Amino acid sequence: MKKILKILLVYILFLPIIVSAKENKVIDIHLFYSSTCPHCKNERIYLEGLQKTNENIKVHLYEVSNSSENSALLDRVQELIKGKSSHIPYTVIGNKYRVGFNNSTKLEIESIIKAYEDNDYVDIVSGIIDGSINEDNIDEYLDKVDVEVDSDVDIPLLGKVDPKKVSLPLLAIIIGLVDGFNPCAMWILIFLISMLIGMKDKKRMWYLGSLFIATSAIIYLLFMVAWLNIVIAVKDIRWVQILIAIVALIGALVNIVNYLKEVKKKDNGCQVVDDKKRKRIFAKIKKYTHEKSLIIASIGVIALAISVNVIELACSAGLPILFTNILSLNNVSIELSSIYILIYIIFFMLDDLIVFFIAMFTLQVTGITTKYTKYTHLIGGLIMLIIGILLIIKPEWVMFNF
Amino acid sequence: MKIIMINAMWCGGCLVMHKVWKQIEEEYPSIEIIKYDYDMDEEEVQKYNVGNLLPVAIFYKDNKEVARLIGEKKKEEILKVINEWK
Repeated sequence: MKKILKILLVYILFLPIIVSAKENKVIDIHLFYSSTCPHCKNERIYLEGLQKTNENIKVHLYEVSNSSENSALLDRVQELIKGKSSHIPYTVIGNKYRVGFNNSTKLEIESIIKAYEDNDYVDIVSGIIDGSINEDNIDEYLDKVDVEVDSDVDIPLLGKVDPKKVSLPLLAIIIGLVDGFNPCAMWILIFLISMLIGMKDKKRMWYLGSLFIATSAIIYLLFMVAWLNIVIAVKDIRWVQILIAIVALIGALVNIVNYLKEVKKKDNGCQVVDDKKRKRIFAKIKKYTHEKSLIIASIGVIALAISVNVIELACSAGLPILFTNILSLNNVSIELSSIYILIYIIFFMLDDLIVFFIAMFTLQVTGITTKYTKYTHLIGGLIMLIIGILLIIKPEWVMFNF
Repeated sequence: MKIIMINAMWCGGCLVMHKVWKQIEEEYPSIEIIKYDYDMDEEEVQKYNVGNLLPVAIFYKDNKEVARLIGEKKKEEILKVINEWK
C-alpha cells in the first residue's frame, strides 16, 4: 500500500512537469507581409486569433514593403530553406513554409502546428536571425527536422489522395484529349498518310510518318514549355492573370458559338479549307513524299509539321495556354511540369497516333467520324469558361486549394 | 439510277463512309456509282456546285438530280433516298 502511495505521490508531483514540457513547447510562426496586401491582413487577423487561443504559439511579424531589413531577411530565409517566391504573405513555421493565404492555408498551418507539437521542432528563422543556422548547416535542419503535413483529401473507395497530385495529371489528360480532338489539322495528316501509303515503301512510310508526328509533338512541347516560362515569370501579377482569364473567356465564347452553329446545321462532315491554302499544303506533301533524297524529304516533312502546328496552335492555343498557366499557379517544379506537359501532349496526339498506326498496319487510311466534332467545341468551350471564371473570382480553386 | 459521290482523301468523314458505300454497291449492283475526289478531279467536281462540306452524294434519276446528301450519313438515310427514287 505504501509503495502504491509513493508511486502516486511521485506521479502527482511530476505530472505537471511532464505535461508542461509539452505545453511549454512554443511554436514560432514567422509571417512576412505587406501592409497594403489584403491577404496579408486576413492572415494577420487569423494568426492573432490563433495566438490568443493557443498560448504555445508565438507570432513574429515582418513588414517587407517598407523595411529593407525585413525584405533582406525574407530573401535570406527563402534562399536557405529553398523556398523562393515573390508572393506574400509568406509564412514560415519550423522548416515549413506556405505562400499566400486562404481557407486551405489555415488548415495547413494548423496541421503543421499539430505535427510540430508531436515531433522535434527547431525554429529555423530565429536560428537564421541569430546566425546559428547558415549555409553550412541548413541542410542538416531541413533533413532532420521534418514533419509530415497531411493535406490529403479523403475520397470514398480511393482513400486519402493529394488533390494536386491527382488533379494535375487528370487535367493534363482531359484538356489534352479535348485539344487533340479539335480537328484543325487532322486533314493534313490524313493526306500525308494517303500519299505515303500510295508509295508502297513501308520503311519510308514509317519513317516519314513518324517524323511528322514526332516533329508535331516537339513543336507543341516547345510552345508549351516556352509559354510556361512566361507565365511563371508573370504569375504573381494579378492583371496578367485577369488578361489570361479574359482570353480564356473569349476562347470559350468562340467555341460555344461554334458548337451552337454546328447544332443548328443538320449535316456533319469535313469543312473544306480554303482552296489556296489546301493546294499549297498538298503540293508540298506531294513534293516531299515523292522526293528521292531521304534527307530533303525529311527536311520537307519537318518544315511541313512546323507550319501545320502553327495552324493547330492558332486554332486551339487557348487550352495549352490555360493548362500551363494552371501549372505555374500550382508552383509545380519545372521537371514535374515537363512531365505533365508530356502527358498532355501524348493525349493531344492520341487521335493522330491512332490514325497513323492503323494506316501503317492495315495500309488503309482511316478517318475519325466528324459526328462528335461539335462536342469537342462544347467541352473545350466549357473548360475555358470554367477556368476563366475561376481565374477571376476563385484563383485558389485553380490551385486545388478548396 | 446513278449516284455521284464526291469525297476527299484528306476527309475523315468521307473515309468513315467508305464501308457504308461499299455495302450499298454490293447490295444494289444495278445502281451506277461514280466517285470523284474533291482535289484530284477538280474539273468534274466543279460541275456539281459542291459546297464546303464533304462528302456529297448526288442522286440522279433519268439524268435528273433528284436528291443530294451532304456530310456523314447513316446507311439507313442513304437507303431511304435510294428506295424512294430507284
